[in-house]
Amino acid sequence: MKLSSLEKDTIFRGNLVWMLSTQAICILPLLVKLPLWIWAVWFLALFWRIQIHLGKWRFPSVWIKFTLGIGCAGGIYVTFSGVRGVEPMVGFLVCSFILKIIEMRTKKDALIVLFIGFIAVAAQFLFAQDVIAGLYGIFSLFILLTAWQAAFYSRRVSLKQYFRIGGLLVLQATPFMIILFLVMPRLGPLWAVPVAQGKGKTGFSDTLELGDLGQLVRSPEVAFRVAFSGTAPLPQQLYWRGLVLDGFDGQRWQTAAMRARPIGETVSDALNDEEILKYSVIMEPHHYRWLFTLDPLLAARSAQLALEYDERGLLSARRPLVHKAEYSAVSSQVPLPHVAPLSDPDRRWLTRLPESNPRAVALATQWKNENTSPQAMVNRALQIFHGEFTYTMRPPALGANPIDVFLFDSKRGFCEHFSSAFVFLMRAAGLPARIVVGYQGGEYNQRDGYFIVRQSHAHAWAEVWIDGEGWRMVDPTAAVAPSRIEVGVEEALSADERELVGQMRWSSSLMQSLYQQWDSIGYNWNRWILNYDRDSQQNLFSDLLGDTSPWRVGVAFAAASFTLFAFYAAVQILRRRRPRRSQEERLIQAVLRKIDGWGYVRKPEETLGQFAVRVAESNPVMARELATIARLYTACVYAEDPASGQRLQIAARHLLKKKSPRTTKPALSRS
Amino acid sequence: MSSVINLLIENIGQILLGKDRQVRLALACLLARGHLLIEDLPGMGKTTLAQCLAAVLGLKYDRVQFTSDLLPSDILGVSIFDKGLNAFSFHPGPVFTQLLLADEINRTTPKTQSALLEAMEEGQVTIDGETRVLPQPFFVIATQNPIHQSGTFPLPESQLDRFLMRITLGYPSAASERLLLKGEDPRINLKKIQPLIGIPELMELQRQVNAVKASDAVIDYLQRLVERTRRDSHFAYGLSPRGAMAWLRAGKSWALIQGREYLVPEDLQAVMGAVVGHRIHGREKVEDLLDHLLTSVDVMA
Repeated sequence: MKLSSLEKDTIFRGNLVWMLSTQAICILPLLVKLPLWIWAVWFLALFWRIQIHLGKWRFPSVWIKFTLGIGCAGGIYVTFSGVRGVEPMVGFLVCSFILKIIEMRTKKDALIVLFIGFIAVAAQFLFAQDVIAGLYGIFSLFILLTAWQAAFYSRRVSLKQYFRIGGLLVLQATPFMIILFLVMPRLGPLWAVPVAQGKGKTGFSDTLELGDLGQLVRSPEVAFRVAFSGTAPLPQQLYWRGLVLDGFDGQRWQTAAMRARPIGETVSDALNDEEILKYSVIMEPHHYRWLFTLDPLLAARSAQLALEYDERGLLSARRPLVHKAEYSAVSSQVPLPHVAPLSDPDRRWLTRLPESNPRAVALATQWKNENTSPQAMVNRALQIFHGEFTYTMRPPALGANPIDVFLFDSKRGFCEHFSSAFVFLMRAAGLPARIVVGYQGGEYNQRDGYFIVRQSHAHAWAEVWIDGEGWRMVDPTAAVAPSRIEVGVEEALSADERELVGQMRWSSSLMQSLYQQWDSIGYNWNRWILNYDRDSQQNLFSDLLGDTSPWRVGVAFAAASFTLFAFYAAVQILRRRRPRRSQEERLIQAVLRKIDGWGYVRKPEETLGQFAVRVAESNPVMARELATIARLYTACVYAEDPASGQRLQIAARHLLKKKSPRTTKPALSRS
Repeated sequence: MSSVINLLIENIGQILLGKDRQVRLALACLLARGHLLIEDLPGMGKTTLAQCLAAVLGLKYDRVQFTSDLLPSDILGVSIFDKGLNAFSFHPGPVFTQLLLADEINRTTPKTQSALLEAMEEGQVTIDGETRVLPQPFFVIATQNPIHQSGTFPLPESQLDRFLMRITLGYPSAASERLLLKGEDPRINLKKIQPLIGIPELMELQRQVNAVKASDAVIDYLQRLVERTRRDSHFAYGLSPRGAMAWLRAGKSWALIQGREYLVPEDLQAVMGAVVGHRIHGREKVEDLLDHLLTSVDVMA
């Protein structure tokens, strides 16, 4: 179709619904992220376009369009002033897309609307990249392609027919999309997409006040998912370290900034496989920099994050995590042999306490004066918790000397109470100690063998410096409520508090297994699709092709694409060809091919008889034979005379045996 | 039976010189119980062909010259009050005949056209609330001036569809015309023609048309052709099932005229122009469309 006719042709009226609903499908995921006035603009434009369709209103004049355009641009400027991020850009895209429909009158305009639709589909992925978004994107493409076809129809076609064409296109495109996905060079992002700041921070903050974790545990939100290569350890062994809190001001624990350095990506060969744990973590964006690993961390790598690591053994990203990201890490299962001794400033820092909580200080000083060994000191502290302490999510308010009140009066607390009281006692007794916050345990997904770690797994525990041994992990909560570690936080609480723990609750096991399955799909989506990066690509190439040289990849790509398109072409050709052919039919085709080779080509509209007449002009001998065949063929196929089939086969085989058409001597002269 | 048919054609051929193919088509149309539309300029022998057909088949023949002021009752008939009988008596119009020549059908108004076309379709007419059956066989040969001539009401597509075939006679060949010019007017012989067959024989021939065998292979070919008109973008719309059935019937009739008891693709090709030409429409000329249709469908599957 020529462009000039595209410009002239108005849209077939029945197709307007297609255009409008296609647009709606493309922009819906964007609209929900945009301010309400854009919805209003959309409804206005829809209403206007429908009024035009009904013949009640006219297409807007240039001035109205200009005003609307300026108005929208102004609206976006006002709404988003000061906001850095993709929303203003997407808002602008959506506004212009919406306004385009009230000036859509020709096929050319309709095509422009559809093409903007493709951009809108791409923009959908700026906001979400999960499975649902992927499926929705494919659905939008399907509708777009269907509408694109529809734009060229000038008559009403059944809905089924529309969808059949669109669906077929999507199905045919999908394998090629997969090939392109696998083969396209994985470039890093060409530009950083700014994401709106200051929202969506989840999980810990970098300070801990007594009572903070009790709130966090109420959230069932997923913090990260982790898969181990090899056998997974038991959940009770999983202490995911996130932050070390080593400064205490009497109320609140906080972390000291430390110089971080890049971390090694590989482990020395000295360690054998039984001694190390390899795992890969997919973090949900929490808008902080810290990452979670098991202690002691040996190495870590990530294609998406710049990883750093400080001397406390904490892994962090150089920038806050605003997208889902994957990293893999290696931790040792046995304590590391060499430990550098603690420097004096560090020792002072790690035993520093504010002037407060006199009763706790007095108790610890008593231990110290009794010259207790560090090991015994730890045991004595834990001994206290074995007593009449209660593990609860609803501890009472503690006042100015929280440790004292907790230890000697209320005796009710959550993990952060136990760990901070423990660390306080250790410090007061002169042992360097610190609090570690992170997650403990994980929910095992049987289907794909990975752990889901939720906010409800949040935990705080302690680390004590033992001279000659190094940092030793101590979990005071385990002393008071062993089931917290062995089974889970819910088990450790009294019945009336269990409801408070953030968890997925299912009325039936079917729902639970469906949930697990759905989570698995999302996990695999992240793992294999979103995290398909340069490394995975190179690995895939070397697995499939033997090596990763560009020409090999190029040849493979070309071959795969060619095979695919050849397959489509073959299907087309085979479908056009009639599947069932009788033996006579095949023989005739063979005869025709043979004659074709001699330069006598049958035209499609020619019957055999007509063909024989034409051949007779140049080769009467062969024509006579051909005429016989034609006569027999007619008798056999059209008159359905069974007797002539045999004779037809004989005649056809006779002609097929002939070598060359050179005997062009007219038959008449011979007789 | 083919000898009878050949005799018929031979007889008409003595009067309508050099128009063998058109005569055969007209006869095929009649044997297939279809109506015939002849589109040509005046003086090409349209009337002669109709008269010859009526004469050789021994059919009751009537002719109506369509004019712009012709009324439906002028064709169908009218009830007139008879004073003697003191009752209305029906005076049948020219439509109550066996072969009706509707001359220049596109000269008259659509109202009158449709009165005739309804009679053609139903085989009966309703006048003053009373249904009257037309004689059997009932065969209409309508002639029409080329559409572009002025003062015409072209037949709409739906009514064109009522005609099984549309043919043109065309100018005679030089040799035929010379015979025409040198000898006496062959139309004088028209009076001398004796009916060669009677109504029962004609009915028998029409029955034989139905009995012509159409094998799967040739039905396949027909279906491919019809499908092509529906799918190919050259055609504004495809052939209707009625059109497809008309094509098959005309092809069978042609096969019988050729003295065959089975249908071959050549039969379908031979009647294609006459049967399909007025049922398709496209940007190009009808001849080009037909040519495109023929050459784009393989006979041999």
